[in-house]
Amino acid sequence: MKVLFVMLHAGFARYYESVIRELSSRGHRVHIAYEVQRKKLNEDDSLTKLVSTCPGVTSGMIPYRVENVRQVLLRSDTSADRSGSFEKTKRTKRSVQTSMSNALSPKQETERIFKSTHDGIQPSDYTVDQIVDEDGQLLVLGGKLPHALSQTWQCFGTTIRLMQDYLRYFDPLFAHAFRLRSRAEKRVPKLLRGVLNRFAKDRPLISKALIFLFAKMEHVIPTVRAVDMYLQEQAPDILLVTPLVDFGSQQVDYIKSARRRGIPSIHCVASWDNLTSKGLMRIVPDQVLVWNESQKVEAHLLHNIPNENIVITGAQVFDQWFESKPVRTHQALCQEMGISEHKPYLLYLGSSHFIAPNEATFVARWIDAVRRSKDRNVAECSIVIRPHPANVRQFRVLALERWSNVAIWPSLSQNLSSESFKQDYFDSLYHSVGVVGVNTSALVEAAIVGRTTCTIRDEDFMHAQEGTLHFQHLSSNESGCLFVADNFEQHVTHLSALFGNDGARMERSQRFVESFVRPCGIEKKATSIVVDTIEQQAALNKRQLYVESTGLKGVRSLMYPFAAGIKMVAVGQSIPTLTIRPLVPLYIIGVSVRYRISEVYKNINHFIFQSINLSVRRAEKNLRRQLHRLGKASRKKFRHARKKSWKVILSIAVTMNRVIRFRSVRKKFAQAIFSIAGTKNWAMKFLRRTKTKV
Amino acid sequence: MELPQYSGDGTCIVASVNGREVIVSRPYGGAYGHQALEILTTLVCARNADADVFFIRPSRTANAALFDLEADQVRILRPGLFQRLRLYCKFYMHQIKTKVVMSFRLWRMQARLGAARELKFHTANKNFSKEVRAHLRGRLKDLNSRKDDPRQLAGRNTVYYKRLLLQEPINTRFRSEVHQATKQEAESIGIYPNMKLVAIHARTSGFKAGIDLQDVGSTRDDSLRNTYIESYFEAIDYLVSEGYTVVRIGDSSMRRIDRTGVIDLATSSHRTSALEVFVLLKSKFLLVGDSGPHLVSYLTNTPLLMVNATDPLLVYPVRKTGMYLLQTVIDLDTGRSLGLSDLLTDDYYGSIRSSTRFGYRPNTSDEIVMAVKEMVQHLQSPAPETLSQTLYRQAVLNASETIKDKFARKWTVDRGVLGDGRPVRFYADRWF
Repeated sequence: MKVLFVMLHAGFARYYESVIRELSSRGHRVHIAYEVQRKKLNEDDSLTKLVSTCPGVTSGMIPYRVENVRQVLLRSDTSADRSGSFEKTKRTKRSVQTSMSNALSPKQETERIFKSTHDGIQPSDYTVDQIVDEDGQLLVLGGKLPHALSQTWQCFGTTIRLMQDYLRYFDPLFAHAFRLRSRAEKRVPKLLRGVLNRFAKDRPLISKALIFLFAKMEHVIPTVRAVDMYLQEQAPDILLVTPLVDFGSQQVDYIKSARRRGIPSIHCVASWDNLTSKGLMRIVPDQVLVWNESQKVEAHLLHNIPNENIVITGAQVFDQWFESKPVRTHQALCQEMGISEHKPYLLYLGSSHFIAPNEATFVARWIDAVRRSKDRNVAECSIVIRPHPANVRQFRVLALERWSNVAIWPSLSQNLSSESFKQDYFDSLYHSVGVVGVNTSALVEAAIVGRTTCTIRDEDFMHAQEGTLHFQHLSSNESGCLFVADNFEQHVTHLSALFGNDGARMERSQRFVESFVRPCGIEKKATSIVVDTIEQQAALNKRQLYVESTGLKGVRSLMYPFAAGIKMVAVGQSIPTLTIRPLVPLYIIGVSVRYRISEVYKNINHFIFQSINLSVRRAEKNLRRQLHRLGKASRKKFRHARKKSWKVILSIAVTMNRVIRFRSVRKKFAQAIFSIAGTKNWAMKFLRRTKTKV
Repeated sequence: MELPQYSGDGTCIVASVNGREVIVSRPYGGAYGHQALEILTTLVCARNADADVFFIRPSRTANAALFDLEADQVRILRPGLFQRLRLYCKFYMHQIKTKVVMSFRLWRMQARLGAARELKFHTANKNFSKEVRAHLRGRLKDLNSRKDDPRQLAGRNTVYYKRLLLQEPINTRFRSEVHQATKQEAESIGIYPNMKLVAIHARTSGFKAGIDLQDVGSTRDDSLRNTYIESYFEAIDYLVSEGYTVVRIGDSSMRRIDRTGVIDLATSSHRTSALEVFVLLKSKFLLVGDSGPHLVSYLTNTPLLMVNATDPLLVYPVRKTGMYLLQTVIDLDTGRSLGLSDLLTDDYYGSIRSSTRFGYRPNTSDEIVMAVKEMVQHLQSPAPETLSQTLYRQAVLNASETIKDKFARKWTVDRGVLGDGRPVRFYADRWF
């Protein structure tokens, strides 16, 4: 069986590492394709290690898209970046396009993209030649579809998805989720954000109607040609997608393309907050793998997934903690951590930056509160702080020298990819007397290890505790594992109870683990259930190929102007800018026409001038020729006339000579003639005829 | 006449009533400190020009009671309906006119920028002839050569408040009828005229409901200005032991404190805007963090002790009765705490209050107690500045000359004047 696992970034491999290993060990081939490359927490290294140690597992980037979510986000709000690293400079779509079109040819650009995206990663089978057609045309935008058309649909799709994701937070269920709402709001293009705030805010019916409308529109958006080609090339037996619910996620295109090609698709819900703190699912995959009953309810109620499409598997990401064993004693660990080995210690587990942006200050207050406790057990216990791996730097603010017996462990310069990282973490959980945190998955891990977990409701974390739905899973009185205090005083009493070996507390954690982490049975590994489900789904006959109806194509054609309009608005420019945009091409057309006309005018001028010049030259030539001929004829005629006239004169002269009786006079007449005519022929003729001697 | 400058949608005009000049002013009401500062600078400008003042209340005001204040040297007009209508009409006609002109300019600029962006894209299109591209490049050059600053277009500067205007106090008090009513309210919650009051304000995240406003395009995280009331407790105890009554001001989102000698006005059901201003007017001093109410103290002439400050220049106390104490700033890359010379650099001001670049370690209870003790002493018998305090001020003043051009906002050194306040002695001693 070949599995194509599409992820947002390589970091998601961590959630499914056990599943991928299991699939590999069962002889299946797995290709991990990720959208965004990021170096955060050495995720790339982890993936490379996974690929190198598991036979049949490969990885690579998904096809590049020009109109991807990041571009849409960059246009609306540069601070609203999606997971993954990219330049946080203000780049407009135009400048991106310009840089692409100017600097490199499509083929060069494609090579550049693939060089940059595959750097350091095992190269995928997806080669440059396969995405550049014979004409060197870049196919990343969808091959047959014209460039602009495809781009419009992709931009439209992303925009309405971002709008849907924002609209979901208008539901009264998310009334306190102002931080989540604000995070989703930032991602919606400015103009549309204003429209939604004006008409849908505090109007659940309108927001729900809009979500419904956008969901329907999603079906009209065509599949992306590049994705179709990619699936065709990969030819997987099953498609797995995670997280799918990211804001404006384009992973939905994979589900759509898979459906079109008859490939079964599964959405793997990566974490316990995914269904409530991000976006919507939009298209129903063939199956949705969730951890527990609570998530099933969320998937059904919040994402409209039919119950028959949802499978409860348990949380495979936590399987490792059920099998872990400590490798150090309490004393050895305390020595290593630099705290008293004769005292129990409380473990503080840090949260992510989004949840706790100023956590270090809170921790200082917490330590002060613990140290002020009237219970000596609490006041004198050791304290170990373990910051969230992605939120470590802020703990440099803590002045540990203020308190005795307090340590940050591992140190702030920890190596996250070290072999001992997980084991150190487990040991610190295992030997702790109790665990405190704001809102983090580590609290679930602590519950698995059997530690009681506590937290304090603090105004600094209102957005992260009362403002999120997933916190309720932990804090619920009935099924949660957390002991939640409203203030430090109450919290300290909770901590006092930790030192009193309260069995009821342990039971609470166990109950939580049984219902939340391993709902299919505490002994049953979630990884096996997930892999079994994937195999079963892939073993089913392939679905029928989906053929688009003519009606749908018609609706799509009708909807295109609307999509183009939304795309224009999504650019996020002001009204004057939007107004000027269509005018600029008109101006350019005007300039072009003007230049063309002046060019034509020049040509005509040139042509006329040339023609006249030629005609004049011809006429001149003709004239000259005519004149020449005329002159020649005239000269001839003149000569003829002169000849004739001389003949006449000769005859007259001869006649007159005959008439003259006197020889002397005749002679003188002849001499006169001769003096006039000189040696001319007719004079000589006259002399010969008259036999006169001069 | 020198007119004050405002932030947000605040503005003013000069009108005439019965032959006297009147500054018709509508301060920006969106932020507490801004509102107070704009009222104050308007009063000072009117005093300097021997004019009267008429305030128009904005639709949204951080504290409406500030408009009920009277000033000794300036007459604040509260005219009858007809006169008021006349001033309103004049003000709003001017507003409309300015708005129309500004909108037109702004739209023109946006259109120009839009056109430039489009042209830039098309100049690279090789389908056009060389001549057309050359023409487009020429037009693009023309468009880009016109540099409009949107803030200038909107009539705003980056630096709009003037420190010099604040140096000389202007006596303010409530109108008699408001004073009487507020006095009674104050007595109902246990604030009596013979009490030595100290007002305390600790900015918390609840005020902004967990979302702090950010300047557009800024990396500043204003939640770093938040402080915790717990760190004031020892100082409160000291003040109580010295016979002061501490009144905590703020808003209802704050966590209630129950402590001997403390009246928690912020969470009290009796809290009113007027009562808060009344407390400030009556307080011996205000103990405050890096937040808006510290600016209100200039209007109410309350001596100021600011702790947990994050900016050595911007919040430097203007008046002699002011003191401040900065948080410890940690470079998150190296873990090193920044010295004064590090704080007065482009590097710091370029990323000030950036939660990814710097960490802020709040003042400890001990530090706050020391600062409070010094403040109490200073108010009882003002001591001259120590050498370290003088050197500190000189260092800030010197650095401000280079910093202000690049990073100054709201207000900065004004014609060589930073302020007559001082840092807390032990803090200045750290550096000199």
